[in-house]
Amino acid sequence: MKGNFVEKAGTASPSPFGRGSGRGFQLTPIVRNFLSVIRRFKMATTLNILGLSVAFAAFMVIMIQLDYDHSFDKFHTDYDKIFRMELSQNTSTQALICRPLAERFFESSPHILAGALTSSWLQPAPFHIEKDGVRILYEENSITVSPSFFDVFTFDFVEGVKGDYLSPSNVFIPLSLSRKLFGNESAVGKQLVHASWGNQTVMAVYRDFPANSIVDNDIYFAMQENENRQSWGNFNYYVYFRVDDPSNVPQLFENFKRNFDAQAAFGADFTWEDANVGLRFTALPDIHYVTDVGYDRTPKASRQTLLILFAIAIVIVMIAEINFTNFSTALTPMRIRNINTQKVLGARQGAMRFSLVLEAVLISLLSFLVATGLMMLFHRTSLARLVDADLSLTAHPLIVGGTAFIALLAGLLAGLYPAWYMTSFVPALVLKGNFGLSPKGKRLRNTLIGIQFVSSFALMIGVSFMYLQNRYMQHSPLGYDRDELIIANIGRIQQSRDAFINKLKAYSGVEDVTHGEVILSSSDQYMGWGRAYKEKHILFQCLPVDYTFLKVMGIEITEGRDFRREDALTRHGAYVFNETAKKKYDMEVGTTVDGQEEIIGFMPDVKFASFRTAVEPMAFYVRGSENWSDRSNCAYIKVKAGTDKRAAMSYIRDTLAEFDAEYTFDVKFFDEVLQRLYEKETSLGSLISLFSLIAIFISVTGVFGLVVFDSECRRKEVGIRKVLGASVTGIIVMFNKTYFRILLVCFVIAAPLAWYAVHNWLENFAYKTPIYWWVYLLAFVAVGIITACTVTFQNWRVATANPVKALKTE
Amino acid sequence: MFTTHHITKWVSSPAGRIFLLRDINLSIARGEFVSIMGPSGSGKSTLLNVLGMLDTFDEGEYIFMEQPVQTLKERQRSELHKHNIGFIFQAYHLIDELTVAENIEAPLLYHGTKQSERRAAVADMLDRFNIVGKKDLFPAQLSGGQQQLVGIARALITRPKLLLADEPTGNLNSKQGEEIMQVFTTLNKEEGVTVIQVTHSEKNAAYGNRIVHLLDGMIVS
Ligand SMILES: Nc1ncnc2c1ncn2[C@@H]1O[C@H](COP(=O)(O)OP(=O)(O)O)[C@@H](O)[C@H]1O
Ligand SMILES: [Mg+2]
Repeated sequence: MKGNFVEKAGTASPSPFGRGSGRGFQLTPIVRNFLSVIRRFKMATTLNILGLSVAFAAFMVIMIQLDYDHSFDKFHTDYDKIFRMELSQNTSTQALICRPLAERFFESSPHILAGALTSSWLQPAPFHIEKDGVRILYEENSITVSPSFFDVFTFDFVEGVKGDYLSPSNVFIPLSLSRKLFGNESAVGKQLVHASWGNQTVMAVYRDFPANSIVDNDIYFAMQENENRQSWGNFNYYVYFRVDDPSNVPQLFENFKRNFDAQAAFGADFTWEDANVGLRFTALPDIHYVTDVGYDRTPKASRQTLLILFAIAIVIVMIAEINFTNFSTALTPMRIRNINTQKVLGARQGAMRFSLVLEAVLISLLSFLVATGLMMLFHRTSLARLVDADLSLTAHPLIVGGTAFIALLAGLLAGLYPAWYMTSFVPALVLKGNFGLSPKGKRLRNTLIGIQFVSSFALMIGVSFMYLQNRYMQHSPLGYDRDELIIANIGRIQQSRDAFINKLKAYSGVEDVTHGEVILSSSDQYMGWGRAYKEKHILFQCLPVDYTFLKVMGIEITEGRDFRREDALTRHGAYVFNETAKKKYDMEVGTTVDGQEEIIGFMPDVKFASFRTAVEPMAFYVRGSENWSDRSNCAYIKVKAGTDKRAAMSYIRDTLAEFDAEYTFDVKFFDEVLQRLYEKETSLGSLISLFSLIAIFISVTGVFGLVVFDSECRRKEVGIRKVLGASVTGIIVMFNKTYFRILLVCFVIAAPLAWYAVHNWLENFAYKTPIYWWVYLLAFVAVGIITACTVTFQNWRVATANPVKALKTE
Repeated sequence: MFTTHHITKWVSSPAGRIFLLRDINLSIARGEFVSIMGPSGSGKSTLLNVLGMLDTFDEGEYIFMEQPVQTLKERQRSELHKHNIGFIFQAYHLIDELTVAENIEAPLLYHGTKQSERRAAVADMLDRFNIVGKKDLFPAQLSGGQQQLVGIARALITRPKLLLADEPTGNLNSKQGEEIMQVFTTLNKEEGVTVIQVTHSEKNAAYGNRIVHLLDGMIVS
């Protein structure tokens, strides 16, 4: 890249100004000048366009994602008047409601204009259609709702109309599916033939909703009219309702309590207060952000994440803008001679400034065009999967247009200072040869590089701790043996569970098998039970398990004893509580909960939930004969250490297939459970890492460009110093020192900033990775090495050059 | 001081070798004051650079203070140069970003001189060339003659035994030129510094005690 940064002698372009032809604002000379500038300063232009276009593309991707989350469910008609009904008990809240409760609630107030239920399961249902006598098989998501669903949410029907046509055998389908199934033909009246449910007739076709909605583009059909109509114990439905005015919502629960005969529904001694039960209503646009609701399977976003992403988007554009300004300013010494010649020839200052600013604006707009190209490329790579939103440019005219506008501003901003600066020299001074940066200009430049270093440090440290926290959560000891563990959901073969387990145990690679109702470490929270103990109300999370569970999982007993087979034969079952529960409720071995269920022992505080929440009072429970309800569906299979885990896995799969060949069982290594638990953090981590890398990359480009410029600019100085006795090492050290000083100052600024941000982010977790000092050191060393390499590499040529050449008088 | 035997330097071109120096045999004793003359492009600067070890040559021997320069490693050559030779340029070649005092001090940084000694030596030089009042100015703020004085002060601060000056008065008026010649004479007479200067002026050449004429890279007399 020898000399690319520098104007090459002899290629100086004809000046567009020197001709005195009017005002010099004609397009052709300006375009010609622009093209010649690009040609002359190839490297600066390349770096500029590279940095800016990557920044603009990243900016657009982030903005599109932010817009996706921000407008989640906000496009629905009356979105601010639609609410989801939730049931809270003690400290936990769930989204599932029983049907009669929901329907009593809908009737309780005239403010509720419409209310609807949807079933809690959504699964691909296989069906076929007949076309020209040929059967074509499909598998699409279907969901049952109450017909009033279409009164709560406003659907745009393309064919057919809403109304009472919806029934278990009449369906509404989305336009996309209609096209897929029937092409351009009308779908209404067509039959979907199900193996198990019989025929369904398409009654209407609705326009698809955008992806950022909890309302999916599924096949809708009505639930059976009397399905669970009086089942007060069947909490199986998601419930939505629409009100006349959102300000009435806070009174709805009180009003409902007054009008509703709870004792008739839940028993004579039920009171809302004693049971600690309440109804909660979450506004439709907020559903995307609430994370404390059980059984809520809608896609989530956190406002904090969005804020972090937004900040990174701003930082990226800022860093690129800084490069742009710096490069433009850095070129001053190379261009100044030309500019002064033009001045001497009588070019007007105003026209020259205009041309310089225009040049910057053109480069910026060109970068924007490249950015749109990059977006389309990104759209095709697997990285696009990190982003939920549709990345096609046409879908986001406002963001694309806005970014174009930002590009315009960026060009103006980056062009103005150098334009003024370059044209402000007195020609005589330039002839004297002193046209380097003024001390003020140098300070500005150093400050700008400083901002880049500070952001690079802060991002690097932030990302490292995100990674460390994710690692910490997935790899810290949990208090039970999680290595060599395979989990299988065996609900389908409930009746043959013991046979299945015995079959597994016979396999040489399997050490032991146990089972429980839930999977450890798969959720933030488990079943919360309120009971009476020593005449007080106590609360704890209860995980019903098989009596062999603690032994197989390697959970030790600190007091009392482990479960025995006999515990399952008692009437009420038995508990082993954790230390926290023991301390909090002053528990003793041999006492009973609710006067019947015995506490047989205690164990240490194992981390049974996620690291986001602190360990709460909790118990493993072996159900007794009286409250036996066999929902123990999760098999925990411990593989012998040193066995081929993959082979064990396929053995388990094969065994399951022997019991039920049709069903695909969910079998996974325990690591996957943890991965799924922390999916949010890891995907956030990779998204932020990606964009941080981009920011750091652009910063490095900036430093690289300036170093190249600097070393070209200081050739003569280096020549002189070598004549005066400086060694090559001495020269390299001198160059490095300058940057190292800036680096050090930036680190001192960035370290506390990063610490503060990391500290705040870690507040999301009850169990946090320590803030290691070496991460800071590593960030410093990493940025230091990158900088030192750039500086050394770029200056090597200059430092080793023959000084005689550098000192030849031109 | 040094002797050269058949020094020849060339550059290759598609048309064959272009000789910059041809068979230079030159012997200079300690304490001499030599002027090199010749038309533009005759190889004066090239010769001076070779003698000052800033540039290499292709053939011949160069014995500098009993050391054969052509066999020395880059590093040793640089040491030899650093401790014995001072250089003065027609274009001054001061560092624009440094003040007068800092420019003069610069060579000492590469000699590892202590700060206190450096300060004393700089003060000494400023005093000697009557530029104390200018010490905090930047080169661009000085006249050509003043800049060249700074250049000389910088060349002398390491107390070199050999002073090489490439057209030191080329950019100066005759009065300033005379001043410089006066400085050289004093140095040569009173401190025994060997001086080799390139000049176009007969008058300035006459300050020396020997004149070497160069033509097309060869010594003609
Ligand atoms: N590296 C080089 N490559 C080609 N020609 C050179 C090189 N260095 C010097 N020259 C040529 O050698 C000749 C002598 O140059 P120089 O020593 O600078 O002359 P002087 O100082 O006597 O004016 C000139 O014609 C110059 O163009
Ligand atoms: Mg010359």
